[in-house]
Amino acid sequence: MAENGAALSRRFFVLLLLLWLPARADEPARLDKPPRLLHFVEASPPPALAERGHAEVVLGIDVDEHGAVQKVDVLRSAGDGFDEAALAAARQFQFAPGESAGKPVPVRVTYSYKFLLKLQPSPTPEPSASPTPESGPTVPLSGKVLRKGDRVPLAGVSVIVDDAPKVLTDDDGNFAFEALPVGKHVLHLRHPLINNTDAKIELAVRKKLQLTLYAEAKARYRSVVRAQKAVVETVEMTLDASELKRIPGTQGDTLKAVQNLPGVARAPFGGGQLIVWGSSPQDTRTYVDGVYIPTLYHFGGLRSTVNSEVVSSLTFMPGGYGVDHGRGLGGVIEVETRRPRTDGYHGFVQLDLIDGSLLVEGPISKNVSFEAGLRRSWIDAFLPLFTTSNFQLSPVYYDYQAKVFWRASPRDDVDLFIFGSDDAVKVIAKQPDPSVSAEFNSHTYYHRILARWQHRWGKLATFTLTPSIGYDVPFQFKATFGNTNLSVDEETLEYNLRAVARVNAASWLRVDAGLDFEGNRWTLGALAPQGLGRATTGQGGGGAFRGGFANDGITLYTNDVAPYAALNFSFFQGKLTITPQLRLEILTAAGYQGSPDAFSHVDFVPEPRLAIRYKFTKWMAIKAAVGVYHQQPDPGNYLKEFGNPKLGPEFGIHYVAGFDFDPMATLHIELTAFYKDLRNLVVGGERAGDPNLENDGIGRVYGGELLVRQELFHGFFGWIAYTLSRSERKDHDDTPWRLFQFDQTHILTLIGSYQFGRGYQIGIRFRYVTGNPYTPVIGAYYDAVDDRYVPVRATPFSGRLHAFNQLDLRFDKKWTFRKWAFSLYLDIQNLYDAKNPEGVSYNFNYTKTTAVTGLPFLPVLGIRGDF
Amino acid sequence: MHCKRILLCAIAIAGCRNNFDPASYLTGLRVIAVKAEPPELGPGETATLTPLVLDSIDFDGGMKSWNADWWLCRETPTPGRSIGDDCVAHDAGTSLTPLGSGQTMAVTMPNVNPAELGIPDDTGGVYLPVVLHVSDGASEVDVVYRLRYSLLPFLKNHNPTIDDVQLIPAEDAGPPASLDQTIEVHLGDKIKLRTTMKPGSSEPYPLLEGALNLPDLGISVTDGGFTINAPISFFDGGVDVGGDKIELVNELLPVSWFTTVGGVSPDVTTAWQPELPDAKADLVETTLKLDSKHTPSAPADVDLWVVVRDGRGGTDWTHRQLLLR
Repeated sequence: MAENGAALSRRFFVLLLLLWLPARADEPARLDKPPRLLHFVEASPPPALAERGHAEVVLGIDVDEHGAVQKVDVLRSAGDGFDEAALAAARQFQFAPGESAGKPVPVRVTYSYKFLLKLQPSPTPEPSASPTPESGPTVPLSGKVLRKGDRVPLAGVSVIVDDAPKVLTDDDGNFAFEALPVGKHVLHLRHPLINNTDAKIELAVRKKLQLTLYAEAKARYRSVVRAQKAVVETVEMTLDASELKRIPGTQGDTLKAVQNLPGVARAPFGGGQLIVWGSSPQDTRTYVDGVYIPTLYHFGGLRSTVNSEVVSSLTFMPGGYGVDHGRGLGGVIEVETRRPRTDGYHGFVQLDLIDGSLLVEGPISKNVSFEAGLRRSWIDAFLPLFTTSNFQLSPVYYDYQAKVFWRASPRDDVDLFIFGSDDAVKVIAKQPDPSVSAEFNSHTYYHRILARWQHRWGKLATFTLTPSIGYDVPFQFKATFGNTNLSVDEETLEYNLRAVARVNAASWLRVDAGLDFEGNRWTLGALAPQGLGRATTGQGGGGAFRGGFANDGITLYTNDVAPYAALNFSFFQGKLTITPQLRLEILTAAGYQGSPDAFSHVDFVPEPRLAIRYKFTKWMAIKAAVGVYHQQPDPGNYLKEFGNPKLGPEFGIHYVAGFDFDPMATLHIELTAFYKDLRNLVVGGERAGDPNLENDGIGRVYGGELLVRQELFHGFFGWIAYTLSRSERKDHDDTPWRLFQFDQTHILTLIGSYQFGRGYQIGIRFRYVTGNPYTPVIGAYYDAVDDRYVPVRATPFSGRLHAFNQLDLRFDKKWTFRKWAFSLYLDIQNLYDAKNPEGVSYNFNYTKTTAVTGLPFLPVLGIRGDF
Repeated sequence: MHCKRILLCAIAIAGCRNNFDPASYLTGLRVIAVKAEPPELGPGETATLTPLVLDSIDFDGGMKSWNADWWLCRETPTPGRSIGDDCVAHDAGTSLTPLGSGQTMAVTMPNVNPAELGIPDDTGGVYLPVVLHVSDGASEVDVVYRLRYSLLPFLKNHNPTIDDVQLIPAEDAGPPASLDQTIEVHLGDKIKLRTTMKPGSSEPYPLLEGALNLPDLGISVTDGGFTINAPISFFDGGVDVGGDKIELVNELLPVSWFTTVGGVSPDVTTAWQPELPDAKADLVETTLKLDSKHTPSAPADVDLWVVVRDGRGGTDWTHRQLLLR
């Protein structure tokens, strides 16, 4: 990253500025190491330089994982032939690749190519330059340049002493001068992404000065680590944490931002489910560092169960994804956590009206570092202020993360990551009539321990091995309705292994292969009114009658293993990629072992998939994918009393096609059409005598989505996400098609955020979503034995609630001090207090209705300190 | 397993408030009970069914004529339902057997396999649904009364009998007073009330848990009724059928309160009985509140209807009147 000495003899010199600042103050580290320019090529200046004297072309350069320049775009034109000259030169640059998580990754960098007419050649000092020889004593000077607030070392900053000697800081922010004249000087720190900083120093004889300088960063450079892990990228969004934290309505939770992406239906207030491309919430699987977790959000969708501060990226794949994932008919969410910082001890404390969290991290030794975080809600403390003695709601959640990272060798990294989440909700609804009073107790939690070993064979291949164990209570529920008790107690012991190998076999072929094993021992005890199940009616005079309640318990073992492979062919200089893939899924289930009801079955289900992408031009590509997917039924569905042990896997085929447009370096447009064919869906038995559950359902989902996304540009970022879709189900051969319960025809999300500078930022989010289907009540009869009206309902989901609309606003202010930073934010949901219907409430005999409305105007104020 | 969703819905619904009138406030055409005599019968036996039909015009002192059409429902209900869906659908018809019209109706229990009547409820009973369509010419109400099929002929259910409705004075102000005589009340009054039952109203019945297999008990069902091929003997708290001991529990007798003026809270209590368990003893009182809602400022009659049910089809009701002055 130096200026080219050859330019000294020419009329020009080129000022190279690699606009990289590691983004770490208020975001997880995205890159461990930015790309570094190894080979600079000087541009041939156009004749216009003689007239204009200077010009600047701002370029966006895509640097691949080998350090080669893949694509160069002009972000700001200078005209008069300067653009062409800069492009031609930049295409010949060679970089040392950027690194994330210890491995090279593709990165886009912004590069300012400056042309300057100089009548007289002027010398340019090399790094670690010595000053112009002067008379008098000299002393060395060294130091480090850190970012104000979080003390992140700043690389590439020009350190200028007075007006002559100049050096650039290295990757660790260090700089050094071998000899400077004794006396007073002014140090100037210059970089396009920091505010100009000057410091007065005085050098004394025989005294070596060691400085630490702090510079205030401007708007952050945005880097996106393209999904290294995914074997195919047909429809995929990898999200950048720094932008997403400031989306209104998310309270700074990066992982909640996925709810704003195209293809994701709006979950009802308090639901927090992820409904992707018209699939049931349980059809979408969430992984953290390759390990499945049962839920991404705490109750009500208030917060994600993994603290955003340990997240480096979130990749969302709504469908048509590659063979490295499976066992779900919906989408996939892949959360990658970051490695702890090694540049000193850091952390943060955050408090708002919902919860409080803290995190500390730092080095343990040269090659070992750690991070540990904890969060707990305190809604339970102030919620009683808004409830009555007859209605008490006491929700509590917490989550934790602890990681140790060990760089075992230059080629080997080892992570040990322990994390978990816990949700408990208690609801007491007292009624004057005790027989209809109710109490609910729900407890849900999961814990995970994973170890990950990564080995690299240079650029040729990588191998990652991730064993993990976990203990979950996906659902524990006890309820009392009057004198009636209902309980469900579900526990899971998980033991998983994921092995992934990536081999760059040739310039035109990359091979991804792996093994995805998920095993668990699942136990459940259930007590429920008999009516929840279905009895087999007896024959003759000896009918097998059952009591009013049923107890059932099961220990179920599911061991699913799937070897997979994907061949990623690349033709025509990478314009055409074809990725045939195969996943051999072996799904096993066995339960009620040692009892007469014992069952066991194995399903061997090959899952071929294919993805094709063709890049017509530099800014437009067409893509298509088709794939087969299977999913084990929910374990509870194997219960003999309430389910059916003979159930088989559900099945789906995804068809995806679309276009990608990149008209500008920071503007991305994606247009995608999709169709999902769903078979063997688990549905309730149709008639008396049928099993409780059977694989009779089918479904179809079709639609399209549009994403227009502006990355950070002149302080603004935002996106427009629109989905048009229809999701239908057919429960049995002789029943008509019906709408899926979360079918939402139109889903529109507009997000915009602007950074004013001086730490101020404001953002808005607007959403318009078609109302959810519901099943209307078309009449009622009075049950004179039970003294209650019983509703008569219309065709399932034949009614639709009014459309949802909501405007959210977020305001951030950050004060940055030398060694720490303080932030204040106000996140207002439902700014104009729209009365959005979430359901319908009826009077006692179902002759009058009123809408149950969702979230009211809700301001959330929060503070945060980073050090 | 969609319990999580159920929980969330319950939270949302429980947290929601509305301004609907409660079921205990009587207005318009209402059917608040149906009494069968007897309430439990075996195949070939006949019961007389009488609905308690109230109309707001009645409350004003006039009588409005009403009529009911009656049907038997022979469709086996799906699990979780007390009546076959077709019998209460808007286009019901094929599953309904007409019984005729009238303000009362005699219904004979057909010779059916009780298994065809659906899954037993938590009192171990299966029921033959009877459908009423009540109309006063302007309004209509659909009603289902489920006539209990006698599975254990030696333990047939009977209707409970209300003995009295009592006004409970403030503490230390004397014993409860009967509401047999009309009393005056005033706007703003809060009147504590309870219902007492005649002895024997709360009957024992077998508590059936888990599977109950009739052949195992020596009981077989034929077209003509039951045959019991096992010795039967009673012991303290239960009955022994062929060596299988069945525990007996007493009915609790929930009471539903209805009023034409003001409001009652709670609107369902438990009937006071000497044998009532201590844990339930404090659940017998309700309060009639003559607050501004549904309480006219002018003098008016307060019609109070009390319905007691035994949870197994047995029903009784009574009427009291207060004078609002």
